[in-house]
Parts: sequence; structure tokens; C-alpha cells
Amino acid sequence: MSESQERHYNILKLNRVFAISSIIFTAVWLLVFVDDYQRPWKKYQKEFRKLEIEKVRAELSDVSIELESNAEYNALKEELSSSEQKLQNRQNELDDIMNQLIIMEAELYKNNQIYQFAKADLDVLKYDYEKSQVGYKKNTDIEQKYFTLKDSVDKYFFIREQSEISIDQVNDARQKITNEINQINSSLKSLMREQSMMQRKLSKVDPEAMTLANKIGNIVRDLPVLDFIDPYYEVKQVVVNDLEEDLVYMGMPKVDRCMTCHVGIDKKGFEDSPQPYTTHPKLDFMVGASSSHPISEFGCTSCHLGRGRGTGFYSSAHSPNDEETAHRWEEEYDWEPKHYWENPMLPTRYSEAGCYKCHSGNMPLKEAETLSLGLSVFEKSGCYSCHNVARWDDAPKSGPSLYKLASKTYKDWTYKWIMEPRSFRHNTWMPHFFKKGNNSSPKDIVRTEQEVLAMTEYLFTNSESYDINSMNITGDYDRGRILVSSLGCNGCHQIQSTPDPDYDPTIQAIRTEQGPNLIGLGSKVNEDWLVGWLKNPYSYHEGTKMPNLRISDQEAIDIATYLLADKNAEFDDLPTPQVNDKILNEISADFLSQLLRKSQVDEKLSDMSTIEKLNYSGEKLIGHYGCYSCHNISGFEGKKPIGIALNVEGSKLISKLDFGFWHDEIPHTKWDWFYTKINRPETFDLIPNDDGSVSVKELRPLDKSRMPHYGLTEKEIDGLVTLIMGLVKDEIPETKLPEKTPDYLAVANGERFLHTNNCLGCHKIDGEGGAIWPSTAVWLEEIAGSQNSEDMSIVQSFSPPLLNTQGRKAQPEWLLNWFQNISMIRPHLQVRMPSYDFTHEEWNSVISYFQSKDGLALTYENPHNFSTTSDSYIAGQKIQEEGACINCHFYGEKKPLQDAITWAPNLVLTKERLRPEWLIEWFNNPQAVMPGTKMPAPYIPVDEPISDVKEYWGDEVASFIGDTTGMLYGLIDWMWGMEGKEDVSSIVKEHLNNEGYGFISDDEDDEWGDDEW
Amino acid sequence: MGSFKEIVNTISNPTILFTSVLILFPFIFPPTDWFDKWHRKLGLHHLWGTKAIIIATIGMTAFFIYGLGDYNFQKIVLKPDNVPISGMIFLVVFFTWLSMNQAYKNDELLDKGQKPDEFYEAPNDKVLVWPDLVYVELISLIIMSAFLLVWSIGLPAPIEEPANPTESPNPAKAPWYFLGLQEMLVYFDPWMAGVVLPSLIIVALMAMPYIDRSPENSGFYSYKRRRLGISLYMFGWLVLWQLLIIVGTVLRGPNWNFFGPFEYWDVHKLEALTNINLSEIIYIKFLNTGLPSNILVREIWGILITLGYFLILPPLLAKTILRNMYEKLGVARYSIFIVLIITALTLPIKMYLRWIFNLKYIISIPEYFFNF
Repeated sequence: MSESQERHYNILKLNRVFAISSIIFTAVWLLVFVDDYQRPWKKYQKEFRKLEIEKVRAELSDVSIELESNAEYNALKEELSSSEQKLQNRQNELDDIMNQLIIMEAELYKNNQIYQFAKADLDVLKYDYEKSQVGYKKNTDIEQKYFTLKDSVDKYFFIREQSEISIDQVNDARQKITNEINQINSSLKSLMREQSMMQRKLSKVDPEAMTLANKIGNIVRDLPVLDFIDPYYEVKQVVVNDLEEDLVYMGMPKVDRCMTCHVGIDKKGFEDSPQPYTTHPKLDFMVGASSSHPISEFGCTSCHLGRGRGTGFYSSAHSPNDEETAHRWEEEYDWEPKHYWENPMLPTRYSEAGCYKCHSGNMPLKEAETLSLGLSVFEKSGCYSCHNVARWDDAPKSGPSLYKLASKTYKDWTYKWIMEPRSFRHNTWMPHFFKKGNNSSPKDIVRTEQEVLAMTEYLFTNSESYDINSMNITGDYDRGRILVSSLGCNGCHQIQSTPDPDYDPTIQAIRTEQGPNLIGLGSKVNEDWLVGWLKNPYSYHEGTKMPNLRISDQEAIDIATYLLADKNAEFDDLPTPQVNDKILNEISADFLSQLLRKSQVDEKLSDMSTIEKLNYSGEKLIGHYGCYSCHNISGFEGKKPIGIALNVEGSKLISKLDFGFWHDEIPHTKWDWFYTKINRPETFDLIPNDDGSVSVKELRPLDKSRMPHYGLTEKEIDGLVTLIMGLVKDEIPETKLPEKTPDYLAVANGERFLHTNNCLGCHKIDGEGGAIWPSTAVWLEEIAGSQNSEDMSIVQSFSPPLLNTQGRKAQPEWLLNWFQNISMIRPHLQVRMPSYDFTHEEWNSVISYFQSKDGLALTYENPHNFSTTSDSYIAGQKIQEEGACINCHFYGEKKPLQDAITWAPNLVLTKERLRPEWLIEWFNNPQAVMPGTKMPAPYIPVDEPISDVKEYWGDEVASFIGDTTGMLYGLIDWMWGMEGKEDVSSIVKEHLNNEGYGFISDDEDDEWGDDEW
Repeated sequence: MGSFKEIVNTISNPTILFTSVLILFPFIFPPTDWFDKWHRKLGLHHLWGTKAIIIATIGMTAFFIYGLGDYNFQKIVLKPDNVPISGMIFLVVFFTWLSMNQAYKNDELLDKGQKPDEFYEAPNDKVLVWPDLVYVELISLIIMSAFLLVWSIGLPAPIEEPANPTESPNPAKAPWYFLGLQEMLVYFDPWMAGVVLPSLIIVALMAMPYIDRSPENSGFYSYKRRRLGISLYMFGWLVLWQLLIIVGTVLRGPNWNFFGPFEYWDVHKLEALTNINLSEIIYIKFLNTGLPSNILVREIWGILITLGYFLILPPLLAKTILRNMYEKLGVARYSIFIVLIITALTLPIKMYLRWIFNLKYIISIPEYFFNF
């Protein structure tokens, strides 16, 4: 620059500023790389790699030690070294061969080449020769040339072959020498397969076990920037194309990256490692590649919810199981609830909600205890009565019918019951509508009293008449007591006067709550009604689940005497208020003013009598509180339920749930809202105060939350919340659903039918059910002492039969007839199979359930053919004789030889009742079919010398020696040939009356046997 | 200190906040000599001194630090898309101060007959571009890039849930730079607030150099010699634009209700909003008759008022208070200027009409989708 130009800024200074800012920019640019490189999940993968190395090393050393101590391995090793020694001695020989081989191979190469060249020439000549034949211009010159060359090519071919043969010979000689070693090596290899697999595995993860090149590669592949090619530490993911993430406008294939941190989720052996390395707790059922829900096809968030694409603790939307966990997470992971993801991960206590998406047709759901309990409680509590859920569209009302209420109970009792059901029966499923947090002020109570009076009045005014005949026989308390505990009432009913402090709600426990807890009945129902009800429940209410137990007049009156003796004095003493006209006017006016103007309301009220007002407001209140949803009440037929439908409640946006003033007290999650709503339904009508107390919002009586309080335990509510969270609108592709084969549907429908009708309250199937057993033991203790009641085999034999293999066992036609017309099978049982009024279709669904479950094809079955003169029949006769079946079984009217305690079914029934194929299975191993059964496997002479058999068992049996099945078929032939009386009930009755069961008990004076039985 | 929060919550109430700003504004940015006299008497000119900005910065910082201790305040201010608004508050205060500080210095220099601070005698009528300007721009570019990178690392993008047409967020807020417009929607018909007024803002910005054509005192900061112009502009910029953005960001919560900065955003909070139209006030409240069925008769009062506001007020002002200006600008420029100004003033006017009379629209002809 020629002259110093004028400058606004000092350029040197600017240069410096520029330099500094450039350095800063470079530093920030590097920071970008560092930030990008340092992902939180890398730490977990590194940690897991260490764990894995440790594990593989330990396994490897285990395998190595095992190998060292393996005799075969050591022997082989020794053999190998001696062979090697031998080989060493023949090394010269081998060397010669090898040298020879090299020379020969060179020769082969040379010969081969000559041949190849000659052959190429020949091909050219061949073409020329052929061409020369065109147009009769035969060229003899070419012809001659061609054939000469052809001969020499053949010669070369032969020379080449000779070379090859001699090489093969030499090779054979060499192989003979090394063969021994190769063989030993290959058997060693198969022994060491596991070890070398471990070594290979280790060399992939453990830098120390790597070759040098791999060691360097191991470092380079994870360097910043270069790590885009094939890093060891990487985001791992599964993409499930046919499951979609609902992005409102469109669906995106599900991408789950959970295993980026939960690295051990699908690997066995990390069950006890800390999170996030832990193996999935049900690897054989979920996640595992061979399980029914492999991770590659189902992902993670399809069940657990959460943000599958997230690779951080926060961004994947974890949800803590409880407050304590939340605090720990806040400290350890800087966790906070993720508001911007509608479906945050389900806390583990609700994770079974995911099962319901695909398995909504089942009950119970295997491996999903909480959800199954939730379904059970949902059904028992009658949630579906008010809150429509498609699954229960055809389900009957969950409460008893009130059509003929007046014939059953009293007004006073009804009033007190509606007011506070649990003060009468501590564990009733009828919920509390009143005396809740939002209607318990003295003013509210005064109104409530009048409301309940009005509802009671309506129910009794509109009750239909029901004819009951009173009987002129007297009942006996003790007989009644024994009957209740022996007939099978306890399969569905409890008699439990005070709450059980250790009550643990399970499906099994709820089975004994199918019907009400039978306490305080003396305060509740009148005797004539009860007798009528016991004799035929269907005559009082067609749709009742209470079956007909074919109870005689005397039995009914005995049971009634026993049940009615229990009165609830405390409940009886509760006061019932007088009608208060002023309050009643207010209540009526509240409803009237929904349709009329104030002046019209006043006019109308002055025209109504007190009874009219009671009935009017009673009807309106029943509609308001939705009593008709659970109970049949006349005047409410076909009315829609009052609650909101819950079909897709789990997919509801959280913004649609009103947390009211509880935003600081209740965590802002759907499940916490549902939990609160069920646990204390009126919560959102309340306002929390700083001192822990609550005040009630300003609400008119009819605006208050009506949802009643069920007094459920935490476990039960968790079950319900799990179910509600599972009621989602996700569309599941067919490929992900269980395949709807006829068998699958039959089993699923059957299981639900069995559940709904509480079959498992009495029967046990494959170890499930049999809720009645404990009460059978109680009854046994009473009649036969603790020696018998503590013997599980006796308890089992006096309980309703196991239904394992029922499909293979019973002939379907007989089963259907029997269901519709129950008759005695097991003569020693007191417990009775009830007579249900199920339709043909319903019974058929039960039968096809049993058959599908047992994998039985529904085909026509040939009748079992036999001849009474055949060897088989005679052999069977001999076997039953030797086996002394008559000891326990009836042979027609022929009584068993032993005491009634061991009695078993009449064998005359067998040919109609059982399938021969099943009988073979049964005879072979009764314990495997019905664990705990008293039936022994019939003794048959299988392993005895034929001469002995001939001598003791006769020729016919001997002819089946070695053919177990044949002998058993003989037994079946014999049974099929039996004739005689089928119904032995009168004989049984007489025997039991005269001789009793013959229990072996400590105190021999058997006092019960004489009179009742 | 709980009461301090309550005081802040109370004065954040729009009526109090806006009224006090409206009253204070002419004393801080005096448009006339009279206001300037009081401006100096009250010592408000110290606002543009060095001490004032230090105190203001410390004060604002202290307020933010204190506020961050409050959960509700923290939730609003630290929301990633609201962080720039907090920064904006500091920047607006600082640059307003900087320009005013400079202007006052220059005013003094000019009063003494000296050249302003920025005076620069350009040789051959040229300015220095290379390397002076370009170099500085490059450095700014680099530093700004570095700053943005650090910001984006430190404060990750605020990704929210997938958009859902069946669920609009509550409150549903426009991007921050439109929050002023959204605030106007409360008081005007969407057509007015969304189309007419924003267009007029652009028109006004374009018209500015044609209204004030004087080359005098341009090219450097000064206040005294353009009091009215700067004061009016600052009113539009600071009060009708910036303040409304801040209000829209920080003080508007669910259901577009007002919430103090320390108040929980409760969806259930209710505000009594039973707004009525001018026609209803006149015919039903005052005259005690029903609304006339004829639209023109019904709305005649509103139409008359509006016409009066736009047609009679300008000549009236030209004859009285603004006579000097009218003479200086001439009919055309004066008309454009005054229409723009009184249109801008409709916003505060309508705000007050709403607060005092629950007035919804002055003219309301929903039959033809015209509301004003």
C-alpha cells in the first residue's frame, strides 16, 4: 500500500479479535463433536461389555475345567500324542511322498496343457471339416488332418488321466499315514466344540483375547467420526414394520431402541445383573427369539409403551413404579415426567396392560395375574354395567334382580342396605353411594336419608308379586349347617362374619365370592322366600347364576333354619328416619325443574301426595344413581347405562382427565388418575387443604360425582387400572394376534364360560381352581376329625372331581345328556353337581372346550366292538378279578367290598360314559392324569414269566404277554360287557344311613353315622 | 416474600400494567416541551444515564434469579421457546437505553453548537467498507455462529408430542413474534387483528420516510429535535408490540386467561367475560327497547362514532392541537399520518372500552362478517 490509508478500526487489533474468535469457533466446533460423541448409552454398553467379558470368561474357564476332567478328552489327547509320535517315525516316508507329489503335479500340469492346446486345435479343425462337407466339395486333406489330430488328442487325454491316477495313488498313501491323526482330531474337535464356541465369543468382545489386528480394529472402529462405519458401541434397534406408531396424521413403523441401554434384555445369564443390564424376567415367554413374542417381531414399546426411539433415560419416557423410585430417579438420572409423549412407559405394576391389546378375548390371561385379577374384579364389581366395554356387551346385569324384591326382604333392611351396604356385609360387592367424602356433611346426610327412603319406596311399590308356599315342616339347625358345608355351597359362597385381615385378593379367592357372603341372613330375607329360592332359584329370577341343587323340601328348610339363625343385631338397630316433606320437596323439585319452570314446579308439588313424591323422586334417583345398571328394576328396561364407555379409555388423552385441585397431590399420569378415581371416586369433588384435610367444592346435589365407593384393596385397584390402561384403540394387525383357529376359539370361549359360571369354584382343571377344597376340609374335620381333614387325598376325594383330560375322557353325547339330567356317578360324594339351565349351545361350547383343549378332532368315533367269548374279554375278566375292582367300584347293584369312604363310580356306567382310548391312558398312569387320585393302576402281569402267568392268570391272559395295551383292552372289553343297574343312589343312601363312611378316626365312637346319613 | 410475589402478580394484571405504562410513557419519552419539562423535573432523564442501566441490569437479573426459585415462574421462563423472550427483554432495555443515552449526549453537543458524536466527514463522499466493515461483519458472523452452537447444545430443541388435530394445546400460542398480534385478537375481529392492522403496520413503516422528509438531524442519534416522532414510534414499538409479546408469552395461560408470573396455570380459572356490543348498550341498556331488526338502524350509532373518529377527528386536530404539524405536512401527508396514528390508537382505546364497559364490538354486523 503506497500511503497509509485512513482506517476506521485498527486492523491489527481486528486481526487479533478475528484470531481469538476463530479459535473460539473452532473450540465450539470441537465441542459439537464431543457432544455428539458422548452419548449417555455408551456408558451402559461399555459397562455391559465388561459384564459380558466376565461372564464369558467364567463360562470358558468352567468349560475348560470340565474338559480337563473329562476322561474321554484326556484319553483322546494321549492317543493323539502317541499317533503324532508314530507319524514322526514315518516322517521320511511322508517326505518322500510329498516330493513325489510335487513332481507328479508338475507333470500333470504339463500334460494337461498339451491336451488342452491339442483339443482347441481339434475343435477348430472339426468346424473346418464340417464346413468342407457343404456342397459336395469334399476336402480329403482336411478330413485326414482332422482324424490324425483326433487320435493324438485321445492319446494326450489318456496320458493326462494316467498322471491323475498316479497322483491319486500317492495321495491315498499319504492319507493312510495321516488318517489316524485326522480321526482323533475330529473327535477332539467335537468334544471341544463348546469351548471353541466360547473362545470365539470371547474373541469378539474381549480385547485381551483378540489378535493384534483385531485389537487395533477394536480401537479404531469406535473413534470419533470414524465410528459411523461399523462401531462396536452403537444404537441398537428393532424395526417392526407392521406395528405402527400413531402419529395422528400417519403411522410410522415402530422403532424400539430400548436395547441400546438394556443390552442384556434378550441374553440369558444376566438375571441378577443390575438394571439396565438385566435379562427379561420371562425370557421364554417374551423377548426371547424362540418365545411366542420375540423382540424382533413385537418390539418393546408395543407392550410397555414409552418412547421407543428415545435413547436416554428421560427421552424414552420411563415411568416410576412408586414415589420412592421417582425420587431415586430424580437424583440418579435427572429424571422428570415426560409430558410431551402421550403414552409414557407403563410402570411395572401396570405393565400387563399391554397384554390386553391382543388378548382381550381371554379370561384368565396366562402369565398376567394382575390383569386377570383386574378382569375378575371388573366383572364382579359390575363396572361394565355402568361403563360400557364391548367385551361385556351381552353380559347379564351384575347385581341381583329387584323385580320381586318385596317377597324377599323388608323395607327397613333395604333402606339401611342402600345407605351403607358394608355395615351389613363387610365384603359385599355392592358399593357405597352415600356417606362418601362429597356427601357426608350433616346437611347432605339429611338429604341422603330422604333420597334412600324414596328409592326404597319406589322399589317396594313396583315390586312384582311372587308366590311362595310356606311349608309346615320344621328345620334342624345342625343338619342345615352340615348340608351347607357338604352340598357345595362353599364353591360360590363364603360364610365369613368378620373381615379377614390377611385377605389376599386373587382370582381363586374371588371364586368363593361368586355369590354373597351368607351372613346375617336372618336380618335380611324371610324364610318362605329362602326355601323357595333354594329349591329353585330360576323361579325367582330366570337369569340368576345360582343353580338348582335339587334340594328336597326337608333339606331346604334345614338350610334355611341354619342360615336365618344368623342375625346382624347391630345392623338391625340402625335407625330409619321419618319422611321429611320439606327435603322431599327439594329433591322432587330438583328433578321437576329439569323440565318445568319454577312456578310450574311449585304447582305440581302442591298437587302431589307424600307417597307420590316418594315414588316420583325414588324413580328419578334410581335413574340418577344408575341402580338399574346393575339390578333389574321395573320401569328401567332398556335404559342406557349412566357411566362413560371405557372401550378406549386407555387411549384417552391425559388432557381430557380433570385433575381438579389435585394437581400438586396426584402425579400427572393417567394411571394415577384412574387409581384415585377408583380408590376414592369423589376425590375430584374435593379440594385439598394445606393441613391434609379436604373441603368440598360448591356443587348442587345432582352435580356431585355419583361414582360409588367399592372399598377395594390396593391389589384389586391395580388390577383394574391395568385393565383400563389396556383398553386402547390401537389397531393390531392380524399377524400379531393369536391365530384364530377353531380350537383356539373353542378354548378361549370355554375358558371364559367356565370363569363366568365359576366352574373352577368347585372343579380343578390342570391345577387351577378348586376353591371349595378348604371348605371340604372343614366339613371333613367336623364329621370325621382332623386325621381325615388333614389328609389331602381324602379332601380331594370328597371334593368335586378334577376335570383334567375331560375332553379325551368323556363321550360327548353322554356328557351332554348328563349335564342336562344330572345323575350320581361318584357314590361317596356329598357335594352335588348343580342342574344348570344352560342351553344346548352353551353346553356344547363347554364340551367343545374340553375337546379342543385336549387336541381332540371332532370326528365320528367308532363304537368299541368286543365279544364276550374272545380271549380279550376273558383276560379282562381275570384281570378285574385279580385287581379287585369290586373293592371300590359298584358292579351294577353289587356294592363295593370296602367301606364307603373309598367308593368309586359304578362300572356299568363306563361303556356309555368314557372313551376307551382315555381309559388306556388312565389305566397306565392314573396319577399322571389326575394327580392325587385314589385309583391305583390295575395290576397286569407284564414282566412275569409266561409259565407263571399261564398258571396263575390262565391262557387268555398269557396270550397277551408283552402287550400291555392288549391286556388293558381286555379290561375295557369286560367293562363294555357289563350289564346291571345304572342308578345306585338308593343303595348308596341306604348304606350311608346304616353304616356311614367308615372313616378311620382317633375316637372310635362314631356318633354321626347313625342319624343323618 | 410471598407478598412480593402477590404484588407482582397484581400489578401484572393488564389493566394496571397497561394503564401505568400508558401514564408513565409520555414522561419517559416526552413528546412535547411540556412533558419534557416534567421529564426533567421528575428526574426521569437520569434513566438514560450510565448508572440507570447498571441498576436496571442488576435489578432485572435479580428479579429473574429470584423468580426462578418459583416453580410456576420457572416453568414459563425456562421453557426452551420462551428463553429468547427473556433474552429479548434484556436486549430491548439495553438498546433502548443505548440509543437514548447517545441521543441525549448528541442533544447536548448540538445545543453547544458542536458536531454530534457520530459525525464523520467522509472523504470523497465514500465510506470505508473493506476491510473495516466487512471484517467486522465476518467477526460478528463467527462469534454469533459459535454462540448459536453453544446454545443449541446447552438447550436442546423443544420437541413436543406429535401434532394432533383433535387436540389443540391449551393455551394455543402463536410463534413468539406473532404474540402481539394474537393479543390484538382478544379485542378485535380476527379479520381486523389478523389482516388489516398488520398490513397497516407495514404500510406505516413504508410511509415513514415520506411523512418525515426532513434530512435534518439524520444519520445520528438525537431526541430533542424529533420528540413527537420518536415518542410515537417508541409507543408503537415498545408498548403496542414488545409489551404485548411479553404479555402474550409470560402472562397468558390456559384459555388465554391472564396469569401473574408467579401464578399456577390452572385450566379451571375462570374470568367473567360477558361482552356486549355497542348497539346492545345503547338500545337495551340506555333506551330500554329491543334491538331494531334493521341492521343499519341497529348499528347506526357505531357507524356514526367510527365515521366521526376517522373523518371528523383528523380535521379537528388539524385545526387545534396539531395545527403546526398540519401546516408543515400539508393535507396529503397529514391525512396519511393522522389516519395511521389514530388507527394505532384504536388498540388501547378498545382495550379500555373492553375493560370498562365489557364492550365487544363498536360495529357488529355478523350477518356480513363485519365487526369493528
